[in-house]
Amino acid sequence: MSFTSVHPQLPLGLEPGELFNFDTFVEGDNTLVTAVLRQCALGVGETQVYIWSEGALGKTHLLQACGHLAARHQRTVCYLTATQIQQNSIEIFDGLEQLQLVCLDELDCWLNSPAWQEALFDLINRLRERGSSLVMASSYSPDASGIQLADLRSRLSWGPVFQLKTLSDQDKVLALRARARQSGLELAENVVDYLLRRYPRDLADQFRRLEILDKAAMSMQRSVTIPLIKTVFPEN
Amino acid sequence: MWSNCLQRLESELSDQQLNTWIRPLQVIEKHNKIKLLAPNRFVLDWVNQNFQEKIQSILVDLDTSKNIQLVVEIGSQTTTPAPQTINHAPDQVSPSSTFTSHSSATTHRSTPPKSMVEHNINPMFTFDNFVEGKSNQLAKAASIQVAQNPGKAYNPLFFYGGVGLGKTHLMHAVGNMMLQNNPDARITYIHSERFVGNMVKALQHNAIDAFKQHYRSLDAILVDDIQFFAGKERSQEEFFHTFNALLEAGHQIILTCDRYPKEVEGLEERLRSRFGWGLPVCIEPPELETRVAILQKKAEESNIDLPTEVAFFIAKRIRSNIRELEGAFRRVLATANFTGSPVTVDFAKEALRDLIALQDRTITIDNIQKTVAEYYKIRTSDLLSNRRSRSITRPRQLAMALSKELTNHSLPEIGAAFGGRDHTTILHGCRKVAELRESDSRINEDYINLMRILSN
Repeated sequence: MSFTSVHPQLPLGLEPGELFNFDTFVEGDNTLVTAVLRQCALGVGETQVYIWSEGALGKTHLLQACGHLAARHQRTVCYLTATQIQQNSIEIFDGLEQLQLVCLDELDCWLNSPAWQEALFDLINRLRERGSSLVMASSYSPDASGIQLADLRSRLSWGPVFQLKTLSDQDKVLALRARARQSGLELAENVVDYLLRRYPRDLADQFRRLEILDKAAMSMQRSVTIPLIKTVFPEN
Repeated sequence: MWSNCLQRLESELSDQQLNTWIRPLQVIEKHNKIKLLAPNRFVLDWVNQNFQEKIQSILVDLDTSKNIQLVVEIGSQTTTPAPQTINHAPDQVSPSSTFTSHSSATTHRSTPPKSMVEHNINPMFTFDNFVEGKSNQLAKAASIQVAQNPGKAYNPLFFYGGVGLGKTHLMHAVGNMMLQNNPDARITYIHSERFVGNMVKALQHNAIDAFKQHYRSLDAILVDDIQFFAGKERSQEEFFHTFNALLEAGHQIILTCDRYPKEVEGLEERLRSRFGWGLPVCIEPPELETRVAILQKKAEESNIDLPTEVAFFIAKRIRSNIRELEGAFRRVLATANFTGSPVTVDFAKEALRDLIALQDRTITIDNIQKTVAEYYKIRTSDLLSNRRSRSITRPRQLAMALSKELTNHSLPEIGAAFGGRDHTTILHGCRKVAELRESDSRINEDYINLMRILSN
């Protein structure tokens, strides 16, 4: 029976298990950043941390991990993505200083209007006055973020600024496997090798492929193997 | 009960849903009542629309008496601010209750209403821990005068200068000294941004009279970053009247701005001229020695032994403003705590490697030439040419001096980048600029401005 003749079973809309915590984060050379973030999430050490990196190196994962850790220690926390922020008006920041930790993701996607820049400027002031913690993530460093409001730009650098470092190939294998494991997949060594050898090695691309493969494997009721990869991503 | 409910939610909702909507909720659990406090209307609406039913059903499931009651509203359990902040309680007739109560029908605050105005003077910002240097000594002297004679010495006292140079610190220091001399003084510190926001809320909730009364009855008002009033006419109008009322009553006004009052665009002429009535004082970026002293002060506050040569290394690298200087210092500190290594110059170099690399990448000779040419409204090619008129040679020499100061290029390299000049010409240019900065305040100002533009 050929694979294509199998009536494709519809996947149940399950997204990859979103277990974004510090234990599932492959640190590579980012041990210092994760240590600082852990402390910040627990309300010790730094009260403001800004992380940035151009590619997908795990910023969202780290921010979510901060949220988890803080919540585990009975700290009030809020995590906001660009989509959630953009769907609302600046009043979404109202009262957030009452929380012990605020995590703002994808700054580069929403911080482009003067209104949002002023809103974040005001939020940072309020959080500082309350002694609440703030973790921010962006694709750019504060200086290169194109933010016109100098008052905000300097505030972004108030605490330590960290650029996330790219993972080595060896760490990418670990990261890919960890991500697969979150979806209940156990990837064979040759499969990981194949993915990293044949396709772009940036993790965002790899994770996207993994997601597609996971869905395909579920709908075809097969495990993720090299032949499946070739079926899903046929080479031209 | 709630922690059990939370466990169930954790298994049913995604991390993102939990972190965004459930974890910001604060919980008050009493008898059979669970009250969830949302920080704002958005969280409240979202929880009501998407999760309330689920939460309710889990609670009913967990509650054997089947008598549990769930309430979701806007509010906060923790009304006490950070421990370092003293709260000078506002009048009991504070307008706050009217405008902070949110419009949602289900909403009523469980805690005493928080004042809508920020009246908190931060006790951490005092004259004692303000590091004085050439760049801010006049501002500090004026501040002490004002703190000792509020409403009499200079009114309004107006600080202007770039971001992160200590304007807010000085403002709070005045507030603290005033409180020390008169603990009952009613002083409000507020960002102009928040003044505008509070006024909008007051208008929405028909509480503008209470708003006016509150601000006009203060002994001193400290308004930060008044450039945010630009273009907001209604707020300017209100602030104008507040300003006049306070001034007439002999109460102190302190303002900060990122530029000289007359230069703030989008501000009414009558406000601009009033802001200049008292004493406008400029705060300039701190020079190297002051930056070193600031770092040492911060190290002392953190109980860290920061060797002088390390302080010099960081201060030489971070020139733009104190906030970024502090950020770099915290970065070195965090690395030292993490690795347990002693703080040496090499260690600091390594800890700040990416920051330094980024800076080196941004500040190039090309960039300096372009910025200087734009600043003086001449062409970049003029800087590289052999023209010797003063309108060209001065900018050229400034660009040379800035290239030496801000990049790591050798003098021959800088010479080559300036139309193939000899390195001695560059050296002469740098010396000339150093001399001129001492004797000609305009050149000094240009140099400082250019340095700020390039470092930001």
